[in-house]
Amino acid sequence: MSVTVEVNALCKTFELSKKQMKIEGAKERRKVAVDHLSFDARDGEIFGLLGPNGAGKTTTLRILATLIKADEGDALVNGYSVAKNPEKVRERIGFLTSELKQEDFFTPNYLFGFFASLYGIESGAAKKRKEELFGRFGIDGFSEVKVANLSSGMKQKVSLALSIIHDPGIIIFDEPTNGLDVITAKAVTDFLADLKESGKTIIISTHIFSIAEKLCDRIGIIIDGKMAAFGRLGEITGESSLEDVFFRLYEEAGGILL
Amino acid sequence: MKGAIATVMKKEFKRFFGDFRLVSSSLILPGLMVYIMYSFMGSAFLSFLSVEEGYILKAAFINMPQGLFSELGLDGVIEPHYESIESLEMLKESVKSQEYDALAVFPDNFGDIEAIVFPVKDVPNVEIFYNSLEAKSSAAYSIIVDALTMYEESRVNLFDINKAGEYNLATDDEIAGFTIAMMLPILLIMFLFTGSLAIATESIAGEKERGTISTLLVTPIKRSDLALGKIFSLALIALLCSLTTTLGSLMSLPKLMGAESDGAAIKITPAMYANLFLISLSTILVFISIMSIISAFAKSVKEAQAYGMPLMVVAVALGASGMFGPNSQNPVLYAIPVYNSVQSISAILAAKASALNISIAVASNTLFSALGVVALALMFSNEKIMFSK
Ligand SMILES: Nc1ncnc2c1ncn2[C@@H]1O[C@H](COP(=O)(O)OP(=O)(O)OP(=O)(O)O)[C@@H](O)[C@H]1O
Ligand SMILES: [Mg+2]
Repeated sequence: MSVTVEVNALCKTFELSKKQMKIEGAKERRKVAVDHLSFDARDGEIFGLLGPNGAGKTTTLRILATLIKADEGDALVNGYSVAKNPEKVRERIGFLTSELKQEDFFTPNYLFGFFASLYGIESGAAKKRKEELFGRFGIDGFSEVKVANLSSGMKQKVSLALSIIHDPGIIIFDEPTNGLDVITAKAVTDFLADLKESGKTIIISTHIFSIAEKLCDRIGIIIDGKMAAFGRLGEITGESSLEDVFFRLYEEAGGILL
Repeated sequence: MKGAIATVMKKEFKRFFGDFRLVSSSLILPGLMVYIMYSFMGSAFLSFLSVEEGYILKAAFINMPQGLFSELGLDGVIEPHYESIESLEMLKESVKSQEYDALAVFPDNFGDIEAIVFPVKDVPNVEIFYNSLEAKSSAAYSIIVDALTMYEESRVNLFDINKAGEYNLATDDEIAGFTIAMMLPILLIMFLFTGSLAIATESIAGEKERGTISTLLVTPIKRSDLALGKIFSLALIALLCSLTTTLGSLMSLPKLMGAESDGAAIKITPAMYANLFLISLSTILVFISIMSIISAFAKSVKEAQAYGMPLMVVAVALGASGMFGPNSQNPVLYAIPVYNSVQSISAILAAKASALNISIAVASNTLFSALGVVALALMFSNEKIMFSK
């Protein structure tokens, strides 16, 4: 196993608008969302970022996907810097979060062709890939239904299929099972396990302990933008449960449990 | 990746032409609306100016010499009411309140005309009261004035002007053409702008509002390719939309002017068409790039459209500068985007276009749009702009 993603001391601070300050009850104009965060991920493993709401998980993953830029620090994806070579990085990753929407007007079939051509996949290969992915997620029966008319679970499966259309070596999913029923959620986690078997690097974020325990080989616990613990699951938990460890870390970081 | 631009363009076309609602609301309806509106305005204007059929004009006459009414040839044209000078003020009120269409007051010395000798001094003065706001009153006024003038000329005639035949050497078609040449720059600029406004806001602010633009931004597509693909395809669609509104207005303009002229009112040669096309295309590129940048800043389609409104006023004001023909042939002025379009359209229609100035205009508009593409590409990679909520 070799390191494919290397995150070095990432920092990200957001300027809050007045409205946002009110909503979040923040006193400062600036919010440090990610605070000198470092970790790495290797091929053939699932790495999980575990943390409470607002910990900075999505922000970290968006920096890796080059959607937003870090203020400090850098991340290397297959050796390419997210800051200096964002296009090379985007060619090598598949990224999925709930903020990425598909256009309601188009059918999965059309969208597949559209993204295949954006990624420069030639039509024969694209057709094979479509059969494979649509078959795996049961999209084939809905391939001519406009996205607007798909159920939210089916929409998510279509987004998932489209995000890995180019068979990337590194897959980054933000809360992959959020909003899915148990059956669909299982289809997704099984798929992630298969991808791991085939040697891909998978980075997910979650606030659900059971997913982290079941799925992840290594995890990083983020609290308030900082890495509170990082390593193999067994190394972090020792004798106690992941939940207990988490609550202890949370209190150590100054968090208050109600 | 060169194919990326084509891929983005194809998607935009499919999005637009595949959606009946979009095609009908921005391609078919505006042209139809303009046609119906102008035709309606034209006929409403005509009916405002004309007297309904079968109506007999009523006029009051004070002090009119016996037999003059028939001599003037007004029998059957106007219904006469003979009144006395005492009721003058009351009669004026009746003209105001449309009871009478006109009131003619003859002077006591009207009979003197029988004895007039040259040189003429202190001729009798006939007073005709009317109400110019009423079509009937205006009609009665001009009938009586015409009849009296003819009567006068039959008595004392020194010379005639244009007594018989058609002297205006401009044909109806040419008059229509002149009016079209006057209206077209402002209309064309307005249609090019409204087309761009509708298309660019929907595609860029709309994608931002619905969160589909981020999906494109995580693919390896270059930001500049995305900007180019969007601007090219949106410009072509907007051009098509303005074409239908322009056609609609060209077809209804003769009706708006009340001229019974056909579409051949204005003689446009193929070379003029080619120049008009080049100018329109380069202008719409400018409009689309401006509206795209505004749409990328805006958080929603509505916001983008609101920002576009003041610009629309500016565009129309610029369009008005071309109403009375090209202002100048100074090539430097043809380097100012949009203003150069107005001047060029105006010059083309007046058959005064110079190849140099048209080329300068097209080149300057294209350069301006290229800067727009660069700006849009930079905005696509700016997280503060793309993900502002
Ligand atoms: N664009 C932004 N502008 C201002 N603040 C932001 C922005 N994006 C995120 N934040 C703030 O940064 C912090 C981290 O947010 P982030 O979305 O990364 O958390 P998360 O760990 O994904 O939480 P969740 O589990 O709720 O998804 C939060 O306080 C959030 O409000
Ligand atoms: Mg999140």
